[in-house]
Amino acid sequence: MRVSEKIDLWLIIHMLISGAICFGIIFILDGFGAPWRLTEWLVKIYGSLGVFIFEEARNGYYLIRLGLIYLPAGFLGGLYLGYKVKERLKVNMVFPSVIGFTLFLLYLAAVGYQIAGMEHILKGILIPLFTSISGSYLGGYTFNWHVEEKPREERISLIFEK
Amino acid sequence: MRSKLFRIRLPLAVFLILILAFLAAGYLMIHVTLMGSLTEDGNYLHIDMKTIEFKLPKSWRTPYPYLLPFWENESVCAIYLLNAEGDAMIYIIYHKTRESVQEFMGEQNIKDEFSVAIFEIERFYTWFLQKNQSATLQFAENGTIKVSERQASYSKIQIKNISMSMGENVTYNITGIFISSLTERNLLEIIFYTWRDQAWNATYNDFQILVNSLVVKYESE
Repeated sequence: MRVSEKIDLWLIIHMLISGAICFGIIFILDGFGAPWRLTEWLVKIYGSLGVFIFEEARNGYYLIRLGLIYLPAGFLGGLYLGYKVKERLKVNMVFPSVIGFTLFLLYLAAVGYQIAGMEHILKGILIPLFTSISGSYLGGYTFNWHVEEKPREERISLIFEK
Repeated sequence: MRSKLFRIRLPLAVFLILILAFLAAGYLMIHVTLMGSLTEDGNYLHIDMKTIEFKLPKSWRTPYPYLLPFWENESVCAIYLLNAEGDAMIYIIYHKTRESVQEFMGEQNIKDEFSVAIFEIERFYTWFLQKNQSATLQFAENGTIKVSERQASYSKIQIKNISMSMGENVTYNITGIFISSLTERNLLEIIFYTWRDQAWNATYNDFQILVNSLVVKYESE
């Protein structure tokens, strides 16, 4: 009983650390505006940042944000948890992103950012969270990817002498 | 199932491929949108919205991602643009419905088209006056022009001696033009201003191209 309690406590601690890693990565990448700097650099080649008046272009930037903020954040959180925890990955790997993203939402609420309306809930919460969770699974399984290799086939030929 | 892809573990490979896929898809969307909206000579973006259509010089930009450059609901459409150097700005505000116009004019107790421009100038000047007591407003020119086949009133102004931060010795002079066009059913406002003297001459031609190409497509019944 004691042993399992001890393990559970450490599991929770590792989950919290992985969530903190996920939050930290989102905070840093979003705070320094890394996706925007890259996008701005790419679009400046054409010399026209006016294109962001169109929603299609803004959606394009949104995809870049998903790929450069939420996916890596979830991945690194999952990578830590996958390194520390080897059991029940299917369940455990949800937590780095859920904890990290919840912390990020709390931070946004603290600085006065409002998320209201269905579009904001979908694009501001659900899609980034799902992307981040996907990243966590990929990170967790990177350390725990075991596939049973098939034994090498050997061809044996019998030659009978006459 | 494969254990490795490109000699790296499969989940890591999928992660890297996903990042590249997100980047490529995002970039492609921006690229296609840009190419689809460039004019034939490649110098302008043809902005064709549900309500408004105009030509934007290619070098101009939007305040995105810090502010939304285009905002529209059932009664109001608003556009915010700035030049590459960030020293010239254009606002286009279109009150699309009779109710929206009446609400706006009723709230501010405005009676006619020219008073709309004057109201916006006062609001604009008051904002600077709160930051800097020594700012002075001068009316340079008043008159009428045509915008999108509509008659419009305009007022050109200068606000002098603006310092944007405490203890700053550098002062700016804002030069701006406020245009308003009022019909029974809707109200169009265009505001253009620069906060550096040399920016006015450099960007006024761009502003004229935008105004001359502006078409209001949506007219409420």
